[in-house]
Amino acid sequence: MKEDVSRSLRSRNRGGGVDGAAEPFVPAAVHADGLTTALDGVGLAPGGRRFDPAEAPVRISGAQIVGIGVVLLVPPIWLLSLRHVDLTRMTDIGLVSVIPRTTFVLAAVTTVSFLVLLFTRPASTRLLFLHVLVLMLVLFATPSVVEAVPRLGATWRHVGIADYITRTGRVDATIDAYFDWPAFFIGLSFVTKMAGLSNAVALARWAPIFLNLLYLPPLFVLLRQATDDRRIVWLAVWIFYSANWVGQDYLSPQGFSYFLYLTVLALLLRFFVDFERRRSAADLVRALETWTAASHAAARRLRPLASAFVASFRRLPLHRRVPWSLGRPARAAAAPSSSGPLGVPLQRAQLMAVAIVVSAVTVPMHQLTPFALLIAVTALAVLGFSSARRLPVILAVLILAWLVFMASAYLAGHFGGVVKEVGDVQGSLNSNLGARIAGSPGHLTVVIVRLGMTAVLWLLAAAGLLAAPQRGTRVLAVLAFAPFLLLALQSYGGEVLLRIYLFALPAISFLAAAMLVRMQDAAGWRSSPVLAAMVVALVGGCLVTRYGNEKMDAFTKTEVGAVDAIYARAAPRSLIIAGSSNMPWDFEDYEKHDLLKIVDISAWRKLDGTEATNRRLLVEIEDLMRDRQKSPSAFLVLTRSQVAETDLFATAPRGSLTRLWRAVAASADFRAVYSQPDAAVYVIVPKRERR
Amino acid sequence: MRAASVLWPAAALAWAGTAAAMVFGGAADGPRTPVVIGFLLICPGLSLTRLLDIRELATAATLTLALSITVDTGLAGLMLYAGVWSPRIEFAVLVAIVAVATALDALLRPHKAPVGEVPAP
Repeated sequence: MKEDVSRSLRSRNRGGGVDGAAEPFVPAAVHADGLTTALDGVGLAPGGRRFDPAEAPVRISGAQIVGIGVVLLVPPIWLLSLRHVDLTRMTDIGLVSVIPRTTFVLAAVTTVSFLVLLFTRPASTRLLFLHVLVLMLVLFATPSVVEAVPRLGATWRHVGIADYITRTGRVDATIDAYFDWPAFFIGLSFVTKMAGLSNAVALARWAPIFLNLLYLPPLFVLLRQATDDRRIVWLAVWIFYSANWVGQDYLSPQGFSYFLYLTVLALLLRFFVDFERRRSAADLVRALETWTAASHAAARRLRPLASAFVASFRRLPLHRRVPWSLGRPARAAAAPSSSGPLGVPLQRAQLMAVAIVVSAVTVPMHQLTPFALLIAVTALAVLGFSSARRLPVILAVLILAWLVFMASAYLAGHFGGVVKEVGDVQGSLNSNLGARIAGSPGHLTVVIVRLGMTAVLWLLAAAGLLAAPQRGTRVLAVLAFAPFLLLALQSYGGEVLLRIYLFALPAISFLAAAMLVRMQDAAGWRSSPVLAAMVVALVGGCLVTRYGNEKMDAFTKTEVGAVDAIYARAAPRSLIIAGSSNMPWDFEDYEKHDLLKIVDISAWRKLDGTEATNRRLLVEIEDLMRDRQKSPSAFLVLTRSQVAETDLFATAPRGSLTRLWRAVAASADFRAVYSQPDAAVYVIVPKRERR
Repeated sequence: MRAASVLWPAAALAWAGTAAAMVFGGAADGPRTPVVIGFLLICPGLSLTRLLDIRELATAATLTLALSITVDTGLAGLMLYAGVWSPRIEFAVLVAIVAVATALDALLRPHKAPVGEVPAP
C-alpha cells in the first residue's frame, strides 16, 4: 500500500509538462480499488482529493543531481581551462585551433545534461534555465575571457561614434551613414557618460553575453506561445543559441535592435495572434481584403492614435472602452496565460502602444531591422494571424518618414544604388553566396561548416513544419520565411542572407526543435543518442562557425597601442594608411582623420607574390605619404589582424601584407614611431634627412 | 497587500535615489558603473511595466528591458534632435519618470480588481 502511494506520487510528478509544480493537473483516473493510478498527469491524491504539489515529498532525481553538478562545476572548470590559451598560435580555422579540448568536453557535458533533464520528468525549469546560462557562458564569453581587448573592428568604430556624440552633442550626417541611423549611438553616449566611463570600450568586451541574456525573455515568450510542450520551447532556446553563429550580438545597433525585434514579435504572438483559428484559401483572401481596408482606415485614424495613446495611460476604469479600436481581441490572447484581463480594450491599447513605441525606436536605430520587422508584422496581418492590422501601416509610415526627412543625406548619396538593388535577387545571391565562398583553405573549411550547419537546421525546420505540427507552427513558418523578402530589397553589402538567417532563427529553431522532440517521442530511447549527437554537434559547431574568423577579429593590446600612438601624434585631417580597416580604429577622433586601405590601392590588386610587384606597392604608398598637400601628416599602420584578414580572404597571394611589412621595416624611407611584434606605425623620412 | 507590491516600488525608488546620488554627487567610478547601468536598464521599464499589470515573469521581464531601452534611447534622441542635449538632465527626467510611475502604481494598485474578476466590457 505504502509502495503504491509512493509510486503514485512519483508518477504524478512525471505528468503536467516540464515543471510539474507549475503545470495544472489533468483529471485523474481512479482504479476500482480506490488507489490513484500511476498515469502521467494524474491530478488527484489518494482518496480523491485534489493533489497539492506542496504536500508531495521533495524528490530530486539522479538527472537533477547531475544537472546541479554540471551547473556548479562547468563554469569554474571552463574558466580554469582558458588560463593558458595562446592566441598567437591561432590558425585560419579560428578560435577552435587554440582553445583547449576541455571547452568542447564541457559544452558537450552541459548539452547532454540539459537533454537528459529535458526528457526526464519532472524537469526543473530552474535547472534548464541555469543550463542555458552555462551554455551562453561557454559559447559567448570565451573570447571575452581569452582576449585582452574587445574584438571586431566595428566595435571600436561604434565606440568612436558614441564618443563623437559625447564630445559634440550632435550628429553629423555628412560624416557617414552611421549618423543617419544614430539612435543606438546617442543612447550609448548617454549611458557611457552617466556611468562615469571615459568611453564605451569597457562595455564592449562583455556585450555579447549581455545581449544574449537580453534575448532570452522575449525569445521564451515568443516560443512559449507556439506550443504547450515545454520540451520544444527549451530545446528551441538551446538550438537558437547554438546556431547563432552570425555574430551580430556585439556592441552594435543591430545587436540591440534585434532585441527590440524579438520583443515586438513576442508581444504580437502573446497578445495579438490567434493560433487556434483554422484558415482556408477563402479565409486568406478575406484577410487580405480586411487588411487592405484596415490600412486605408488607419491612414485616416493616425490623428486619434496620438490622443488614444495618451488616453490609454490615464487610469480609466478598466471596463471603459477606449474611443477607437486597435483590432479585435485575439482569442488565443487570454488562453495560455495567467497575466490578467487581456480581453479588456484598455490593456490591449496599452500593449499595442508599447509595441508601436518599441517598433518606432528601431527605425532610427538600424537600417535593416525595421524592414525585417515590417515584413514580419505585415505577413502576420495579411495572412490573418495577427489582429494588430494597423501596426504595419504605422511602422511603414515611420520608416518612410525617417528615410525622407532624417536620412535624406544618405538617400541623396545612395539613391541610385539602393533603387538599383531592389528586385535584383540574383545580384543579392551572388554577392551573398558566391563572393563569400572564397579564401584560404582553413577559412573555406569554416565557410563550409557554416553552410552545412545552416542547411541541416533548415532541413530539420522543414521536416518539423511538415511532420511535427504544433499550435503555432503556421505562425512561426510565416516568421521563418517572411525575412526572405529582404533578399528582394537589397544585398546589404553581401550580408543580407546572414541577416535573413538571424531574423528567421527563432522560428527555425522552434520548428527544428519540434521535429527533434517528435523524433524522440516516436523512436523512444533508440533515438536518444542520435538526438544528443546532433545537438552536441550543433553546440561544438557553433564554436567553429561563430569564431571562424577570430584570427582577424581578435585584437591585442599592442594593436590598440599602435592606434593610440597615431592619435597621440596625428594632427586633424592626417592621412592614415592601413593594410585594411580591420583594426581597433576610430574609437577616438572619429571625424578627424582619413583612412586609406592598402587593399584599395591599385598596386595591391596587381600583386603576384613577386618582389617586383611588392616593390611597386611600396613605392605607391611612399608617394601617397610624401604628398603633404593633401594631409598635414601621414602614418602607415600595419597590424597582425590586418595580415590575418588579407590572408584569410585571399585578396592577394598569401603573405603579401607580411612581405610588404618586412619591406617597410627594412626601408630607409620609413621610420617606426611604434614597433611591436603585433603592430607597427611608420612615418615617412624626409628626403633631406635621408641624405 | 502582497509584499511584492511594496517591495518592487521601494526597490526601484531606492535604486533611483542611489544612482542619482552617484551621478549628481560626482562619484568617479567603481560601483557607479554597475549601479547606473542597472538603473537605466531596469528601473524606467519596471516602473512602467507595473502600470500595465503584467503578471507573467517572462513577459514582464521582456517589457521591462524593452521599455527601459526604448525610453532611455528615445528620450536621448529627442533631446539631441531638439538641441537640448544634456545627459544629466535626461538622467533627472528618467529618475522623475520612475518616481511618478512608482507613485501612480502605489496609488492605483490597491484599487485594481484581482485578475479574473474584471467585469466584461
